[in-house]
Amino acid sequence: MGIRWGGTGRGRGAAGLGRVVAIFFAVPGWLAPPVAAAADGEGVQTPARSFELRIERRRVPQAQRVLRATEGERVELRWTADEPLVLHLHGYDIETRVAPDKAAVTSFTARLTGRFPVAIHVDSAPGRSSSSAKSSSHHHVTLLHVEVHPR
Amino acid sequence: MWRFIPVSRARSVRGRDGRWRRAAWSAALALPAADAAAHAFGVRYDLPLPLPLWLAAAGLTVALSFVVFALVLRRGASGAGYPRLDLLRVWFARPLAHPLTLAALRVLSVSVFVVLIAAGLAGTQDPYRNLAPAFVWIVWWIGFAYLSALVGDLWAVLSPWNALYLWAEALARWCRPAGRLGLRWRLPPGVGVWPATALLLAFVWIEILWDGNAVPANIARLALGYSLLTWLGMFLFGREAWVRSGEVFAVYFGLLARLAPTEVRVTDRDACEWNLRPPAAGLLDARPAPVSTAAFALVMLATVTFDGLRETPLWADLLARLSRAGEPVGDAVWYGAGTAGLVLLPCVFAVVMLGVGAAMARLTRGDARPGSASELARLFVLTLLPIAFAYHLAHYLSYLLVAGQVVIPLASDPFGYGWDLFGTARYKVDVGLVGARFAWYTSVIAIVLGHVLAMYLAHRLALARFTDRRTARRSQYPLAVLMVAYTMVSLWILAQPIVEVAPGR
Repeated sequence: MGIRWGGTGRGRGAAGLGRVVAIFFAVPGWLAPPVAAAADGEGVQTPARSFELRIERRRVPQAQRVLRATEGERVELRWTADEPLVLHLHGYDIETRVAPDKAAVTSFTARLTGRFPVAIHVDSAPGRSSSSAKSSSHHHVTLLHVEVHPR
Repeated sequence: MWRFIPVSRARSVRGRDGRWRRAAWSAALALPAADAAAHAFGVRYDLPLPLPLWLAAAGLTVALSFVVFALVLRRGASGAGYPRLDLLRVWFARPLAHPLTLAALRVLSVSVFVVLIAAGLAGTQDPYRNLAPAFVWIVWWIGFAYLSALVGDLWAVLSPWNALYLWAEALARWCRPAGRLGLRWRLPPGVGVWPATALLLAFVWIEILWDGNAVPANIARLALGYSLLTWLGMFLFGREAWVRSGEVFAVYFGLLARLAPTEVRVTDRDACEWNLRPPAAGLLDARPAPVSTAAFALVMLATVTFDGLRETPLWADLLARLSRAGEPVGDAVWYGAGTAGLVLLPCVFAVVMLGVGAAMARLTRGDARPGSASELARLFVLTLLPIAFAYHLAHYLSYLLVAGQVVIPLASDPFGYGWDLFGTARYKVDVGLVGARFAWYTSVIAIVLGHVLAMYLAHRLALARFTDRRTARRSQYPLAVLMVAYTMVSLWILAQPIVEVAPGR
């Protein structure tokens, strides 16, 4: 499981102990996570990070179970799924409905740092709800985590 | 940790079909989408500690250990005594310890207790909208631990069980001046804090494993059951005797309060001594802890570690391996592995501590006052407490600060009836109150300080215990190894990403 070890010193204002120490302990590159390699864009003005996520049988591929972003970035989660689902990004409290015939995007500016779960709330009967409450109680599944690291 | 408001380091909701979950979900689904989202508020976990910080903390831990070795023994601050300043002689502190103040605090505490029980029994059973779960599991169980360790043994004053029994005693005296409440049987001499130790294990099991721990009615019933048990104990054996050996929270918060810079001692009904002292000086007890106290402390240390361990990928993998391939973790595995871990880890800690004691005994055989493995283990076991507390702080502080905010709206509407008593019912939890950087730095600072404090205390105790300075130094080698290892385990857990175990079905 990739912990984002490296890269603390990137970006402006990353002062403090972390940076000082990072210089002392030159962090080996192999510790860098696979996903973070995707977009360490230098374009500080309009940073954006986009992820293509395909949900099948209520799962995403193992490599996408943890998505990493940096504070202040624009993040886009582009979803496709094999069944109708409601996706809930906790912390930021954003709900996104996705269906087989309808791709969807969760987009937000990563203001809060931390580790935020995206949970599946099964959308078995859009429009009508209370009657399906019981069956839904079995399907609160954490799909993945979004990690927003400080700059 | 209580999992229902899964913020920060707490485990997230496990999809089980418990009554409380169903209640919560049907409520959520009955609402329009936007409300449903707002319903599951405030989920944020701390980020794992980044490598540079981890290395810095680990390096500092080891380096400062040597500094302690070098300085404390050379300076030869011998003995286990410490300066005290009686705050009751200070004019501004005196009103705080006035009987009327204490009585007011007790009335407040008992009122909160009654409100929580009433909310649990009569309020909504949606754990998000009831004051009881959030107050008990976040504000009280975590917050009061911090208050005890950083301020003093306030539980001795505030405990509602103690307060209510005190009042009952006063009433009994008023009715029949010659009579007294209770049977005053003598507890068997070997009892020590064994009843409290057993209760602590049970309580921690409820806290971190039991699925129904967030149901308000369960909390209220457990609190009532515990009240009966406590009052029965007080009735049979006397209030003070039971508080010393059976009131688990008095023992727990009391032990943490040994870290505090004040000593609050309720000597009699309302009489009270209140001293200022160097922090953690309460752990400088030159007598070895009784076996039961040592066991209680080991259960404390081990369960705090276990709670963190349980959220690492390591534990998730273990549970997955115990389950049938491809299937989610079932009840049997969840409770079986959890209970086994909860019981075994204190045993492992005890064995390790005895091993350290044995090593110390071997290394100090030449001293004029040699000791046995058990005696030395019991003498030094409490010096590990600062490390455990530091880890606890690192683990829970941001959780307390973020998730703890839910009591602000809930205080205005404790029963979930839509009241707005204090005008705070619409307060929204600010998830961004503390960020990753805050969590990291407080963790590292707390852990390094806790380690140094532990090393320092152990050295002081060794100087008091052994006649020869060189043997005192030698005695510290095994303990220092243990402390560094313990600190490293704590740091390692903090560097793990938090994972939730797959839902029940």
